[in-house]
Amino acid sequence: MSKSEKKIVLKSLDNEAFEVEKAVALQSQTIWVMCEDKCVGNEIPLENVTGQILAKVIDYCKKHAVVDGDGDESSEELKNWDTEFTKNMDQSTLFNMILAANYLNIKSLLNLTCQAVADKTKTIDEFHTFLNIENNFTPEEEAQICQENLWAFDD
Amino acid sequence: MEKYHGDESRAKGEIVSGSSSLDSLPEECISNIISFTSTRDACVAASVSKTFKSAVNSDIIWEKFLPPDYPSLIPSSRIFSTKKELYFALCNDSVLIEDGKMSDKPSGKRCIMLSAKQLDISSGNDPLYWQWISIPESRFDKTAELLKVCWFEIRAEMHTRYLLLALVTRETERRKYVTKPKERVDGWMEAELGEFFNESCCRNISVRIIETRSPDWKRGLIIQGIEFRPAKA
Repeated sequence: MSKSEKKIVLKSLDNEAFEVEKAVALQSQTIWVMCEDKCVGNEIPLENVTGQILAKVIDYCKKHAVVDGDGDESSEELKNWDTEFTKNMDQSTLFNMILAANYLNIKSLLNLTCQAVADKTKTIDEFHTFLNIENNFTPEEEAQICQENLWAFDD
Repeated sequence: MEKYHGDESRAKGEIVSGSSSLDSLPEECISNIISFTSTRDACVAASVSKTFKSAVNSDIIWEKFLPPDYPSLIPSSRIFSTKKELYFALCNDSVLIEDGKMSDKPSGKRCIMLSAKQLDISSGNDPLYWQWISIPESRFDKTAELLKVCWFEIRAEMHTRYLLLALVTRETERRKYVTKPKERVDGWMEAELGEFFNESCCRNISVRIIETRSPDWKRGLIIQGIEFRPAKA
């Protein structure tokens, strides 16, 4: 296998190109299927992911590819790295990471980012403010749902 | 209005940028996020918005909250349409402990049932005296059927960490007669063995049922388990 075959170019929504090792990119099931089907050349256009987010996704995949490859780092180090990775992400980056992980079908990254959002939201108010969600229930509906799930609200 | 915006961006598969809202994530992703919280948070999340309410009903979430061996906990006579329904059915019955595994009861009122297998039954492994049978009415794989014994003794031990309400007996030892069994809603008979007082946590509590004085043979009893539950206030 020549050197160029081991590399792959990922192109973001805003036309940013990233050259990465194939082993790194293939952690994405979506890319893996694309490569298997040979429906793409050496350059894969990712229409749903911006360059800024794709760069982060690649960072994650690189880190996890290395560890899977030579087992140099302990799983604990990797866990710490994961924690640091999502720690300082703002809400919008996290959502976009979730969307990207979902679209690219990288299960471990999807779980990591979902966990990060889950850790930051506990109350309804937090759901509404941090997650920027409009409460679209009518007051009657809201009362009914609270009633159904009453046990969750008392301390 | 907001809802419309969310659906539109999802349909086009666009990345939402700037002030993005979790509501615009695919419902599956929202379910995934909620599955990392707790049963309590999941039920709170149901009141966040309509998308959330629907996401909270996903089997992805409740599958995760159920104990890994939950298929063995489902009575074969009952059918559940969703995992959420199954979860609450198991919770409302009681928490079951079989082979050391247990499910988690979300509300402050936790009931725990130790299966017969978890009990220390005197001569329980001797096929002359006890036999282990599977019956559809039981929530557990195996129930103990008493063939005949003179020495009837059963011990149950449980650590108080399994109870949400910490539990310690004020009196170190108390003896009482087992009350006359009453019929439960599930058709089994139940005899009250005693009451514990809850104060602090982290102790083993033990229960013993003994009938060794009478020389008569005892027979015919089928034991499903021993249940611990909070006393009615």
